[in-house]
Amino acid sequence: MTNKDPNSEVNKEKEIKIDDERRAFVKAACGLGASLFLLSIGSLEKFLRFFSKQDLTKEQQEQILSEKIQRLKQTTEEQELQLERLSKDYIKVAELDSLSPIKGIYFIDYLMRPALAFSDDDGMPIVISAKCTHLGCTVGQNADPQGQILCPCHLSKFNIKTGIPIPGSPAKIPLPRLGWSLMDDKGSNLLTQDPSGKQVGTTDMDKLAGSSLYILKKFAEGEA
Amino acid sequence: MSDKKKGLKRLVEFMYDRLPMHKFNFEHIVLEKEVPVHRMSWAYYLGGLTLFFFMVQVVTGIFLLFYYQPTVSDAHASIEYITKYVNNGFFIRNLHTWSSSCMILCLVVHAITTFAMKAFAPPREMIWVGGAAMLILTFAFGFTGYLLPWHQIAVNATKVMLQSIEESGHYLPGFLSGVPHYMRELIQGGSVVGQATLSRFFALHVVILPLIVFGILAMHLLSVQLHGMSQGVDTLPKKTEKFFPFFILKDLIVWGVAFLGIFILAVCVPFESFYAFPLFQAYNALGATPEGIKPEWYFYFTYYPLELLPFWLVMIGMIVTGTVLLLTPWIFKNTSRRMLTIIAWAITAYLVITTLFGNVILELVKGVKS
Amino acid sequence: MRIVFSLLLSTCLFSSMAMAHPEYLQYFKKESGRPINCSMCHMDPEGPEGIKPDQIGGLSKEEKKMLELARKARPGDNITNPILNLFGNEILNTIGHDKLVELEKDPGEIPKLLSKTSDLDHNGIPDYQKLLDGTDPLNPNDGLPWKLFKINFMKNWFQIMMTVLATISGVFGLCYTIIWFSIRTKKEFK
Repeated sequence: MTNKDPNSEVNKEKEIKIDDERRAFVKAACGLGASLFLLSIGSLEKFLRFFSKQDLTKEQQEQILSEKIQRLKQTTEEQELQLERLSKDYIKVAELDSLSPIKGIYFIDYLMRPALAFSDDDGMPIVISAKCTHLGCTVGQNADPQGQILCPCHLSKFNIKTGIPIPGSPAKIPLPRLGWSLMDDKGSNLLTQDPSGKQVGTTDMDKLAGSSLYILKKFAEGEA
Repeated sequence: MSDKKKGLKRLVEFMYDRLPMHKFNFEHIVLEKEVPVHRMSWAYYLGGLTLFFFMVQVVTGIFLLFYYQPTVSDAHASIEYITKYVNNGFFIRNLHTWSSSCMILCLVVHAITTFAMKAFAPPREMIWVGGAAMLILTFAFGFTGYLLPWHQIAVNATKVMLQSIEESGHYLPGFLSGVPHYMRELIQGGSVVGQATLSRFFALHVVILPLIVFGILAMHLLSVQLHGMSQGVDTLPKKTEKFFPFFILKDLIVWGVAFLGIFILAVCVPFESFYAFPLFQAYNALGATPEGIKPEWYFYFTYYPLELLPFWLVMIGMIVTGTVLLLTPWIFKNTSRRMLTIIAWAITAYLVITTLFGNVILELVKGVKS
Repeated sequence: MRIVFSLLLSTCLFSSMAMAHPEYLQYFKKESGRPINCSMCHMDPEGPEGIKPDQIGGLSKEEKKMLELARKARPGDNITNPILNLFGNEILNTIGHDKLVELEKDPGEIPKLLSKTSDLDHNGIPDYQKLLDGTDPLNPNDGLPWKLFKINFMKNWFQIMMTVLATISGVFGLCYTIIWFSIRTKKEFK
């Protein structure tokens, strides 16, 4: 009969358990160690180099700086436009003679929104908002043979004379008409039209020749 | 007992059942917890996967903060600087972009599968409500983050979506019609999308929303640990596995695979290559708008219906959906899992069709290419 | 004076949508199916007409002289047109100005005449291919996704392989860390 040392059975069980634990620990350590080593070659350097100083060439530095200056200039220009709209009661859009029935002239209205100026068949200005009434994109400036302008976002078409969107357009609301004034070179009002289309002044084209188109702050304040 | 005391007692019992802190011990959470094993067990990994992508977002977002400048004149340039000149800047930025999409995808699938498995049944209602809140907040993350690069598609798409809010004013009576306009200007910080908008979207995206989400997430995770995984199927599962260590081991493997997937995507495929390059040029407030302005893909489920259907119908649909989402545990309390699965499939079909084929449908119906 | 300035400014900021060669834009937009714009070849996304710094009306005296020279460019010249970007100048110097104008009627010939190996952004996709695909020839991160995936995968195969191995060993290590912890806790709680 073999003498069984009860302790040895318990010890063996304990040893196995310790071995399992040890094995797991060693595997864990090896796995994590290998991972850290490989990561340092694979992706860790990507993360760490992110924070290091960028080695820019002289040309790159010049380009970055000149682009920054251009952007600052653009921001300044936009803010100058805003300042002008705050301080002036009227702003020139274009000479009456330079208006075209086909290609609108973009300008910024008093509410800092894009707007367009065309000329009508009789030579009178057509001044409308260029902010599409569907979802706010800027409409194109080129009128087609039917006298319609297109919004590139969702292809709404608007009649430039009435501002009304053509049937089937996503936009349902007409482009608002803006009030304008024709002034001579002395600054005298020759003809004023409010946003509803009511005119005050002379409509004689001979007298209006050589005048300039302006937008007026008083009409924008009403709108705002 | 007075009515007031009865009400208080019911409230205390309700909170006690929903947040059983007495189970917050090592034995319950680590040693005893088991996870049912059945045909829907794969869905149990989705929550963890969403968490993983969220953590990637947080880490890469912090990295990007070192270089990003939240001003209208410098935002786009700082993003270009990160992409062109910062060492591995393109990789970090691309990782952030890809991870955001993956996170939202996992989150939506997680919500749908949780719904189908009726994991919102008592006492897990507050887990569902917290999850629904995080779903909405994640979309808010996407909305605010989309504006930060300040390129054409970012600004124009934001303008379009904010304009949609104001559109709803046309359908409201009397003095209420002005409320959407006020809300829009509150979100914008002014009458147009500009510096004020960028600053507040930056604050929301980087500080406010993360803080709120961390809080809700902590409660959500704590509740899940306390209650354990829901049964998920009608018949009692014959098999279970220990949450610790087996479920966690598998979860880790899933995270490993997800990490590899997103790493390879971030290294090899610029997210912006799926779109036309003019959309990523610097925004010009006074210039013409380029074609192809659309929100991010995860907003297509509202974007295309808005293009195709009457505005009021889509608005009502969204309000109803949002309300049902938050009140799901009570609305569907007595609905069978079979019915919930059918509804989940219908929701999935709607989301897949609008997201993948929305532009095709729009072209067919309206002849408009978007 | 301020009125003149603001008029110039508004015109400058609202440059014309009419391009020198809109036929090219329309053709490649249709071919590629992508809504490209003038910045494929021009310095300004809204084209060469206008008075912004990178447009005809905004050029300095020296730049105007360069523009005049560029309008006489022949194939093989090394001329810089100040209103064109690097790719636009590449086309000009490869095809020549007169031929380019001639090809307004058949823009599809342009990619055939360009160098098959020229890759200005060094991302592995040739410039002529980028023109056909409607992607930016000067942006290495712009291109058809599947093409970029293949090129970048081969370019970064070593780092990807290291990361795959690192992830596998990391997950292996973490799993055994948890197993080790699990064994220990069983012992503690026995």
